[in-house]
Amino acid sequence: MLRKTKMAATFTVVTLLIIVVSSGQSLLWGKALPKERQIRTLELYCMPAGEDIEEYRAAVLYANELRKLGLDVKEHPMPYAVGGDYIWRERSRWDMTAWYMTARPERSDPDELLYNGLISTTVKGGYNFYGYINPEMDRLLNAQRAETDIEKRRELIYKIQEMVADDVPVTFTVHRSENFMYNKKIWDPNSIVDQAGIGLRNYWTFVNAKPLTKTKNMIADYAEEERAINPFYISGVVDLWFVGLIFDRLMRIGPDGLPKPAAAKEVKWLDDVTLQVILREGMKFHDGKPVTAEDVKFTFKAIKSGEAPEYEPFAASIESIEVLSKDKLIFHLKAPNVAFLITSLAKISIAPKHIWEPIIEDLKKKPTEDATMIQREVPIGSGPFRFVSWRRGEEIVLEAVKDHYNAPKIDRLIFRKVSIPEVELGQLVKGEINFLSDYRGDPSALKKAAEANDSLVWKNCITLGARFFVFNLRRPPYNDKAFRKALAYVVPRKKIRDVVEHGFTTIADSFVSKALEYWHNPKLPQYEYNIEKAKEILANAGYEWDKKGRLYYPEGKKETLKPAWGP
Amino acid sequence: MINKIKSFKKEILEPNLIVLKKDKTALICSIMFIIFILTALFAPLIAPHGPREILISKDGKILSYLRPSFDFLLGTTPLGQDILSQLIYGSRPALVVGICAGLMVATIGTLVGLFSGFYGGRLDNILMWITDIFFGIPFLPLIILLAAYFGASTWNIIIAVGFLLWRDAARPIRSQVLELREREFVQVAEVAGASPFRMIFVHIAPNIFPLSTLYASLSMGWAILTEASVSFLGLGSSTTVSWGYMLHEAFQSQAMGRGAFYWFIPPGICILLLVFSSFAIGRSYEEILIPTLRGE
Amino acid sequence: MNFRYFFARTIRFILSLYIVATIAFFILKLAPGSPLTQFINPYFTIKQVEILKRQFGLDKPLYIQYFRYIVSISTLKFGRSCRYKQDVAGLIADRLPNTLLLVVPTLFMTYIVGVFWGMFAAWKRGSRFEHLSILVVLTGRAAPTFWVGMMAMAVLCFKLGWFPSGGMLSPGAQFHSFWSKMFSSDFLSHLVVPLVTYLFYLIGLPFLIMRNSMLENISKDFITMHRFCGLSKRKIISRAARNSMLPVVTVIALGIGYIFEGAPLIETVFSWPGVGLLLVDAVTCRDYPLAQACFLIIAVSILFMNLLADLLYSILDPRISARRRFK
Repeated sequence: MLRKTKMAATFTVVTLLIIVVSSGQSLLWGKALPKERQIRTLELYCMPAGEDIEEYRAAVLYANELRKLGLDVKEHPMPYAVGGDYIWRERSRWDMTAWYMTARPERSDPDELLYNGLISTTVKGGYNFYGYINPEMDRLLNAQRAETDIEKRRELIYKIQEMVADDVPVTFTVHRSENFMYNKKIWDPNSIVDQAGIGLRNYWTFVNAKPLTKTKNMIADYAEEERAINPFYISGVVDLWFVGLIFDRLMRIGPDGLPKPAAAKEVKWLDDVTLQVILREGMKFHDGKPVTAEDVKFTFKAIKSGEAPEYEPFAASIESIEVLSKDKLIFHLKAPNVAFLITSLAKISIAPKHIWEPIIEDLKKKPTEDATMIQREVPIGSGPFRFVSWRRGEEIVLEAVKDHYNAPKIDRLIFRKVSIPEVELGQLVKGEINFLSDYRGDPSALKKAAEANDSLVWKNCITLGARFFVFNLRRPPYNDKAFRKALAYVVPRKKIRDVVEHGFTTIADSFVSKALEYWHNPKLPQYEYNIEKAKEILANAGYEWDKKGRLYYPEGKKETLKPAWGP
Repeated sequence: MINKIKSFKKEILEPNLIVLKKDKTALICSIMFIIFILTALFAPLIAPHGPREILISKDGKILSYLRPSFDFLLGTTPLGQDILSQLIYGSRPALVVGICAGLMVATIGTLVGLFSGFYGGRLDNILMWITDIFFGIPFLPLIILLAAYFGASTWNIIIAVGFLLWRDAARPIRSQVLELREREFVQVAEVAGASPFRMIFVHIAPNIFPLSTLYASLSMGWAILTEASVSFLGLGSSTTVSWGYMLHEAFQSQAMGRGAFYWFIPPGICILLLVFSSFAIGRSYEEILIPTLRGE
Repeated sequence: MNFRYFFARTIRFILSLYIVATIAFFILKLAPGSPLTQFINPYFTIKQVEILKRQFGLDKPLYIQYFRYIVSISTLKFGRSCRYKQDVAGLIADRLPNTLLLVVPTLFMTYIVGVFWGMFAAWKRGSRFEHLSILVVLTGRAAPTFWVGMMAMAVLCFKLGWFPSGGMLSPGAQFHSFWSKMFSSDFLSHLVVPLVTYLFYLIGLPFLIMRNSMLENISKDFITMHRFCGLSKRKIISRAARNSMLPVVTVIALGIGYIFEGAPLIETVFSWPGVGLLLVDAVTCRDYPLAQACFLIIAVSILFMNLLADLLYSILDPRISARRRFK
């Protein structure tokens, strides 16, 4: 009897032990997670160091942080011609990419920065390449376009930014900054204009700069190859400066970021789809012919005819144009668009009808050619500067038009191509150029030069452009808001600012730059670097980590995609 | 079999060793080469940090753009990576590219030269015409195009280099095969009924082995230089840290203007020494400097 | 004068050109990426993509694009650049003189310096000068050209400030004519550092050929002449030098062709606005017509120089008695 009890007891004890140990095992080491729930290797695209070393370094830093969350991340540096093509065409095949928006004066209106990137109509083939679809956002975007009360519009813009910060389709890192330098013995500092979000190199500086010396020429520089000077072709960042000076526009963006009348003396909304424009008197093209409403109408019609495809979207909202007299015209719009003044009238250069009409008519007969291919030897416009000479890749010389309504105070404006930052700086110090307008090197060199020489003024300006990381919302886990939020909390923004941009810029939190003080929402969540919080968010959403620290989908979900490989 | 090994030792290995002992340059270079190989093999043990490891100070700041100090003998990059570690790890892609490309060039070039020279006639004409076309293709520009096609990676460079450089080896090997073909021992073998295969690989091949190794070593040097050039132009792999890539990053970060000589001098010296040693091992500087002319 | 050889060789030249052009076409077209990316902006639409594709001829299937390409280059029409939207021929014509302005003086100096150096090295045979020379020349071949350029730039341009650190001319420099530009001190000061860098790499070839052929000639003539005619050493050396020049001359033609190969590297380091730099830029942006044309220009010059060298060689061949055998 005793023996049987002993055996039973041993048996029970052993069984209990086994149960305890095995459950203890799972308690100790966590339950084994099924491999199918493991999140795949994620890929982060960026430009290679040779094309944009700042973007590359930011991506490397971010990938490092993402790995701390338990993700297997691979950076994929690809030249823009390859990566951009891939992101744009194969919208369902990439996970994350670094991206940025450049600063252009027109982007002083938030519509430019927000509409096309967030509206659902551009998800398929347009700028909303990351697939953000939110009907409430669509409503807000269209509403702000029609809102004529500027304060009410601001409310809407604020709301849009909040929604972006909450939905996190992209996560912002830093703003791009630009550095300028000039000699205050040559230029009256009060005449150099700092345009919000653009910096010192802007239309107003070129027109207002007052020389303190005998020679009244401004010699500025540009660092990137210029491709064309053509009012119908958006050929490059640098080219647009030249076009903006040689050609005039109905409106211009003022130093505060708001539109100002330019070639148009007066602009009035007759109703919410009808705009009356009255031109200034006495405007002339550089060949002496007068600027009339016919030239304006011709320009917009040429663009709408499809011979200038890049400008077409800017004229898309126009239903028709009526010429009432030599200097009065009416624009009929298809739908209310408050931003029309900036997104259209402040962008399009007035081209002389007597020169371009025969060219456009001729082009209409040629289906594979358009106005972007026409390079006039002497571009004739009606802007404050007249074209004098151009040596491709070396120098362009412009001359002031003294009877222009914004007559420049300088005589000549010369732009020289200098692509090496050290050479640029050296030239400024030596006086061979007197306005450093396109410096792309290390700002600390400028800082040192300004400290060494009292008469050199160095200005670091935050631009309208921002850098950010984009999530492809079509692909899980990016379609999970909690996941995106967690990823936003591990962006090492301070490190990126200090290391990547040498500390000379500011952290970004919205598409709308902090430089646009009126439109930027100051109360946006900052997503300050907090890895614990990120892990908390993930845990609360059901994500789990295995014993090696790898991140897994919440229960019920599994990995359905293969790692996105390159092109 | 033992006889073959013995004869190999006697005919090929020993004369070279004697030569090495006599020629000081070749000896020094051989030692340098071995040092590079050892560095590449034991890189993880020698290097203080990983090549892409971002170093962070105790208070969370990135140790960016530091000048050489006791902790970081060659300083750090703007992204906080240890330059010395990068230099040590950089020996790996250099040697991999060099050895693989060198072998590839030697193999293809030797095979083309062997068959071309041995069979003569139509095959010879066709093969030599193909070689001529390859001669006409500008080397570096084609590598630039190929790097764009295959994408940036070390293996792609190897393939691209091997794909092009065999042209330099084919002609001289063919010349020598032509010469050897008329020699007695080959004629004897032919009369004795040896198959072409046997004649090529047993009789002729061992005699052109020195020439093949010469071109292998030369190609190794050229391949390493090419990889460095392509990486420098930004067309190489950003994720493998090679010496060429280090120089590329230094150039893009304006290191020369900043006086960061500790960054842009050492990788170049390493490339120079490695390429020089591979040339010297090939032993004949004449062939290094003179391209073979047509009509030979 | 072997006309059959001339004819056959020329045919081979033309065929090789087409093959090279085909290779260039397919490599670029099959490579990932597209020239449309630089047009991406917030307003970029599907319609614009279609328009651009039509303009660039990218909407047709590959074999049609290839056929058009072959036809157009045969009529010397190189198409329109995707970026500049201007004729490629014009863009290259703008830049080609710049490359030539770099490459021709380099070639010139390389051969002059190389020949004289080789001569001296042969004269001082066995000396330390000779050994050192060979070492220097080999180092030139083993060192990466772009690195030598970077070092030269760091020392000569930044540290010492003797020379400008890049570009071909000072921004804003004006010249009356092409020749006044070529001989201006501004241009020459920009030329020095890239030239010396490239020369360091190329000098091995003429140096060695000259030295070797001098050695051959000296050993024969020197002893014989000296013994029998009592001619001065100097006269013998100069005669030997003249005889040794022949192999050098035949190699110059090849050298001209190959000098274009290294141009992209030098031009990148020194931001020299030439065809090499244009090639690298165009490839990066996938500007197909421009990249293909740059590549072709370089290939054509090499192939053409090879053709000349072969023809030259076949003419000179029977006349050269002390013909150098290249093993």
